Amino acid sequence: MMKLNQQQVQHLLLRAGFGDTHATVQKYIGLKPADILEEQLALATKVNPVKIDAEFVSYTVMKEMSSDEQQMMRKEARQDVKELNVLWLKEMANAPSGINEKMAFFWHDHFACSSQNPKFVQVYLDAIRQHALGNFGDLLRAVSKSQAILLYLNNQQNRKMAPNENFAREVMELFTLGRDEGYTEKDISEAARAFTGWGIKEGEFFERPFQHDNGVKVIMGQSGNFDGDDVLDILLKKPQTARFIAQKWVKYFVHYDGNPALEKRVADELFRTNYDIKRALVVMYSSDEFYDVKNLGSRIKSPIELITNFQRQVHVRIENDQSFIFLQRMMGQTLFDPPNVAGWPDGKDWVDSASLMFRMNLPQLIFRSALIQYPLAASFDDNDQFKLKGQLKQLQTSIDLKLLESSFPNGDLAEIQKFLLQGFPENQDKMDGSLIDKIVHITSKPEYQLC
Amino acid sequence: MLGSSINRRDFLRKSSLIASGTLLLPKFLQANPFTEFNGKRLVVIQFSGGNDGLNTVIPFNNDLLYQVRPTLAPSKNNVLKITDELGLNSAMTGLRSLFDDGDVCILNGVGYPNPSRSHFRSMDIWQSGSSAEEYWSSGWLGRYLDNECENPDQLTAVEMNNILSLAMKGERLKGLPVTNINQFYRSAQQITSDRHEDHEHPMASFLHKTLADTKNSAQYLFEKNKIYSSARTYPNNVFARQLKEVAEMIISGVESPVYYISLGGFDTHNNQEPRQKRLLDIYSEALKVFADDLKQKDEWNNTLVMTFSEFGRRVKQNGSGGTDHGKANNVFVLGGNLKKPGVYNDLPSLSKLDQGDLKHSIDFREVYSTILKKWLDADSANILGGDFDTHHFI
Repeated sequence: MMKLNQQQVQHLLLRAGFGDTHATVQKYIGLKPADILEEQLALATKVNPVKIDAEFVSYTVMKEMSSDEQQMMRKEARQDVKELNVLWLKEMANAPSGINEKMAFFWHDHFACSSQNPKFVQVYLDAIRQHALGNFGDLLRAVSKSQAILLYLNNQQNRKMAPNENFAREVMELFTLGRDEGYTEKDISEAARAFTGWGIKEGEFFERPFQHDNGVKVIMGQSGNFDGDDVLDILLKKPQTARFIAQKWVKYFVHYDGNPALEKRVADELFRTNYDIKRALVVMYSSDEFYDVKNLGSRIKSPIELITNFQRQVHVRIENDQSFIFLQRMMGQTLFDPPNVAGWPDGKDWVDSASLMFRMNLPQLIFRSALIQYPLAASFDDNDQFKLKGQLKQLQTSIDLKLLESSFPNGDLAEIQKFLLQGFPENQDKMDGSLIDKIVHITSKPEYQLC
Repeated sequence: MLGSSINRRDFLRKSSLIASGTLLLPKFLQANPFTEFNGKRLVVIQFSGGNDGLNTVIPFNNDLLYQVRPTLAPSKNNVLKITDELGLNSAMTGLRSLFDDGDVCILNGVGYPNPSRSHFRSMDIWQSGSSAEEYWSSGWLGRYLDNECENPDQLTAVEMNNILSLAMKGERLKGLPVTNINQFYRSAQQITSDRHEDHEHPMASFLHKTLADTKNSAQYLFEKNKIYSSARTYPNNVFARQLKEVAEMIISGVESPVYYISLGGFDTHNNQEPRQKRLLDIYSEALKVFADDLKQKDEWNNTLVMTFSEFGRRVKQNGSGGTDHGKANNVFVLGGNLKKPGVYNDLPSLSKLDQGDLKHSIDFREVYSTILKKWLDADSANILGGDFDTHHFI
């Protein structure tokens, strides 16, 4: 089995997690992927809580409040969701291993959803974080019964007498089989009947018995008095579900173009282990294909990856909520606010002239407290939960210079580049200046946008 | 501002000495990315948040209006009458004056089937040009650029914003977001891109190319925009300043067929009256100066301004002196070359509503199709993914 060099170690840590410190990279050089993964997975066994105190206020209670009180409630709710957003971003930066949060972030994109209700967001976030590396079946069931997803996909309106197919459609198209993969419109409407009644009561998941259609349904050739759980089981028994997940992984974590041979091996492992996410990931990250040189630096960092890479790699931390929200909005990716059910567009879609200029000026904002030149465009939604209060002049950040200097005792520019520019280890630049100057210089290169 | 306009005048004087001029200009300043750029420009103004169309173009003779909006609907004497039935919001004196000059066409009841009341979803539908059932990741103006722009290295279209809207994102080409040309130029200059050689790495070369195009466009805009500096007094607010920059680009001869500007804050769930009035005033006054500016320089006839919002608002006012999210809305089309100025069609019925909202009578993609075909000479069916009817306002 291969032993990894520095670029390969960085590749693994960047793709499986959010990148790591120079010291961590050094520690892993010369080890086999399986050994590194074993340690990373062990570090991720304990999932730190990302929690707020959100109380659920029922509609009946809400109705009795004065309009001022209601407005106050909504304001607090927005603040709570914002807080969860920031707490999760901080955990991405601070978790001992980035591997659990990276997977949870992937699942957030896969099960894309937003909600104005902090308790619902909390339940949803717990589901994708607790099961991130666990069993895909458990994950699918937990997310499908989360209030945020049910509301987002209109299953509250899915009733026996008036079925709403949105939820059933997205479960097949986005969560399990993939678009146009082995199901028909008829299967969707039959599955929608099985999901009738799944909804929310007093803030909790609830199967409304009188809204459920108890008739016989025919779904992909099987017939029976199916309910929602049965549909999920039927979908999990289809190898296509494992194939769809594996294809999405390989495109996301390995290369945009995909790799059919690797996808097949990952899908087989996923199906064979009854959807053990961890074991299938190990197959992918241990494969020769993963370390193919064409994959190094082939991915454009999404804004969340970029923000987190900075923090994990060079001992810098973003300190205040406003700065976190500003960065997400400026670059077009805000947690709990995906553009639509399909999640965020990936790859070249992150880059246009303005976003690239902003990304390249980001090191100045992070390391030099440069003034923010462009105010964020005003939000057009009164109820926008990620609205910024006032104008942000500077990012609030802190740097642990001691730790940083211990990583680069000689301040060698070539070494800094080799560490930070994935796939571009050769350096011809010469420059004097402080370590921070050099890091700003390297991270301001377009190549730092790649991982 | 004064200082820089003197410098510009200075520059103008100098550049007039070298009247043939082209010697000093880099080659890209002369190139025209549009092989068939017909000199016509489209300026899109987006009212973000869902403008209350019923309090913008007001059916002051309709008793129903006053029944459902007892405190919100302005009285008969408090509107700027444009027909026997309709009046503009009293804040829109500038627009009224343009209306009287035959520079405005008002389309009523514009929307789409199965409308969404979500800001983000409905805005995506309007910007992408999709139906309510589809999710498109490119915008209608971006696809126009894809279709019509031959040379992708050149400036394509300008959005006055620091983030590019979906509307301006094509599959292949994207518009250029700019908030302030001088500042944009300065920041682009600051960025060093030291690798000029062709990268073997496809993603890196994509980034370097985007960067080089950005710097080129920044320089193009900066140089070209020195040619004309408006002497007119625009109102002192961000929207008016952006419109002024657009006027200067147009008059300076910047070859961008599309400009995009947004004005936000229309989500008036409470205390609507003063908030909406302020925004309509900002819009209307700036637009009046803009039109006068272009008229004086003979560019108004080559300019079409379209104003839309992602949805209108509920017909009935809510309990907090505001209105909630609704559906169909009016669209304003302005320019010196309108075929049918005035009020284009009737307001949708106030009694036959769809869940308390106005029903649409014109699909917004018909408006797009009209503009693409009749104004920009573009392949509308290809851009919109289908053949939509055209109207005769232009």
